[in-house]
Amino acid sequence: MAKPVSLGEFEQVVLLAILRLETDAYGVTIRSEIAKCTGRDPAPGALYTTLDRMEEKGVVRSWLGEATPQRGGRAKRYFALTKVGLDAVVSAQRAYQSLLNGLDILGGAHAYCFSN
Amino acid sequence: MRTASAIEWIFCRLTTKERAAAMLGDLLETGKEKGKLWFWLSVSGVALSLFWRRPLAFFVAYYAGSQMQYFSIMASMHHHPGNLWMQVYGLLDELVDTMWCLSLYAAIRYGLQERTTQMALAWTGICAVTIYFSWQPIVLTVSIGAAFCFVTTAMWTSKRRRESAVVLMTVAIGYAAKTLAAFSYLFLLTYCSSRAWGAKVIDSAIWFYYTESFLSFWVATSAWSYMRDRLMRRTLLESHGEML
Repeated sequence: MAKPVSLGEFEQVVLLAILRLETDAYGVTIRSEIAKCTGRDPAPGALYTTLDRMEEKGVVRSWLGEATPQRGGRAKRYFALTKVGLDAVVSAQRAYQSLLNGLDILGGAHAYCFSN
Repeated sequence: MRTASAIEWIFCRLTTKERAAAMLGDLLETGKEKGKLWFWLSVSGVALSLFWRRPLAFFVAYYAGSQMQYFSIMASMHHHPGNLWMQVYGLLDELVDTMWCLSLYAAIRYGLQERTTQMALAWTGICAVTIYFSWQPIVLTVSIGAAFCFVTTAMWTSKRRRESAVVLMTVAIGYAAKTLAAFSYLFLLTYCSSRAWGAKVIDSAIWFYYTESFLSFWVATSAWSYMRDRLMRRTLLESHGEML
């Protein structure tokens, strides 16, 4: 079996946002989904270079959608994960999960200690 | 509307037309909610993030490539007779210089994970060692063996063959442009010397050479970017069968 593509932290955030948005993932919605879920507003430049890089790695694919008047008649560029991308994000999340196992930092006594 | 077209034109210089239009569309859509200041700051941020890698890669690779070539020459001169080196290997020396510069450019611009970068670095290493240390039988044998292995793996699949073609064609373009620059400089220098035009004109000829050398590297890096983008597009189209 081929080794999954390695992903950076921001790449994982972007991929998970695309997965959450299903068929409506384009620049504007991806940014707002990240802001809504993580509380951080990514710079458009950082987001676009990450998306371009991930497309070149074969992690996501893109296609042009409809143009709207508020976009000055410019088409939206939609994104979706490829099989490679899905494998990569699942593998990365499994790694996080196995590191978290037995730590109990998301709830319980340790969570209380961290929050104080 | 005219401003948006001007911004799109700038973005088109830095990325593909479709990507440029989509990025600007996103910024216009969000800018309506967030205001003009956000819009202009975002336009500058996007332009900068698309732009900075190429000039950085260009100048660092140009300088570092020349230094790598200098170190290679110094290492080989330690054992190698100087006169023979100057006479026989002058042109090969230019080839190694071109290869170092292009490999480092690819490493900075596209990263070490990229297959074409790895290929370029491997070929540069093999060529540098073969050219500068060819008088040592063991080194020569190992280099030829490594080159044979690389050629075999580079020809294995059609994807690898296309990647090899990008590296080979870019090096060929860069080398041709650099050799042309060197010969035109030598021609100019001989012409100036024959007319006894003095040191100032010869200084200008040196500046002429540096300008030409930069231009030749710019041509080679542009060719690399163009061919790599085409290669990437083709690879993406081929991998569409694997999509979700």
